Amino acid sequence: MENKNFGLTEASFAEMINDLKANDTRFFLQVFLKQFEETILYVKRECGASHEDAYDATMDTLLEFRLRFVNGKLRYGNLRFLFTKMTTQMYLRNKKNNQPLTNDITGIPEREEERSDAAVPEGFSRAWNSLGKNCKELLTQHYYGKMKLIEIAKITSKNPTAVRKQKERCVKKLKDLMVEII
Amino acid sequence: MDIDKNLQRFIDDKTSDEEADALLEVWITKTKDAELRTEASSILQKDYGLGRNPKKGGKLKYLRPLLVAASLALLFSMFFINRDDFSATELAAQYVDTESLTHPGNSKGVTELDTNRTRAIVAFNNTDFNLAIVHFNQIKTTSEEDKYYLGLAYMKSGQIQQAIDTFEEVGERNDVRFRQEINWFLALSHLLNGNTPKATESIKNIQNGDWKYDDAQKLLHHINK
Repeated sequence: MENKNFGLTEASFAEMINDLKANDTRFFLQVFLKQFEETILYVKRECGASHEDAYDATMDTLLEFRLRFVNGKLRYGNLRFLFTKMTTQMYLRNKKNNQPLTNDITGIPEREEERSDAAVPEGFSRAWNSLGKNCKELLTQHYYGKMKLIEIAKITSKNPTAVRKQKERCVKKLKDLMVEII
Repeated sequence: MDIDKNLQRFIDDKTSDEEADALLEVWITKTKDAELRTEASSILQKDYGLGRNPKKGGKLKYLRPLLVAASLALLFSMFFINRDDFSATELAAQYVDTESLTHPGNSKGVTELDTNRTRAIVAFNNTDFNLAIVHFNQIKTTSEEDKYYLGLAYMKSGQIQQAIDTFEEVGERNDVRFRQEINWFLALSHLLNGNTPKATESIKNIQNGDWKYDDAQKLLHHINK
């Protein structure tokens, strides 16, 4: 079973998800980057993809996997198979540009809702760079790690109201910084 | 700065919390994804020798760039250091060929995240200048630094007129960060383009103490010979 899951036991899998939610990607990268070259070779062999296209598709899948992990949409099971299959679908999707991933016999669910292709506004990036470390950490855990505020409260040993207030202050600070910048 | 309509919506007090949350989620996700992509690319290159460009060679793959650079440097020394019977254009071509260029990566001043920038940097550092040009040109909002490296990529790939146009565009913006480099590379590009007066003009902009001042004087000597 562990072989089908990049050597992860069920317990270490759960640990990796917790790390990802808290925005610690080290374990995730350690596990998945070992698989990277093998996956590139698979996509090149199965789809006749160029190295660059296979590399991009594998990288896109890596990011998609992270998102699905933190959203609780991928479970311990046969991650190796899912990763290679999803990469081939990602390659086809990239080739056909915007064609959604389809459900097929591999049971791969549909791609996460398509996010806007628009670039991140410069005003946001500049404000984000100026935001304090604590605010960045909290907002990253909540929006990128998909942690509920109550979960953040638990791991930071704070009460939920304090975390909610802190989040509101951070969002306001971000808005104020944007207003200053523009 | 042109105000992005989503940004306007985000800071507007009338916007609902749900809508502001959704915007923030997209922006933070894109920002963090771009960071993760860069980090993963860097680890793949460093720990696995795996880049976006196909590997070439086997055991010599890490040594090959050094061997090529050393050979070129040796050839350069043998043919040019003790000779005086070559033209300024030949010397300029040698400078361009032997100049080892590396992009330092996204700098702190770069605020616009774009995967094309990451891809352009990776291609540039893998000396795949044609691919770097493609990606630099796909960056949605280009910085001075992007333009400067695009100019270098044009120059290294032999598209000299495009290199000149790009360097001049950066030069016109009077960004002090690139002034010295632009003077030098414009001088080389003009020489390669056969425009000696413009090359001389660029060389004369290189002040004593500037980067490449001594090499610029050598070029000037050959131009005036």
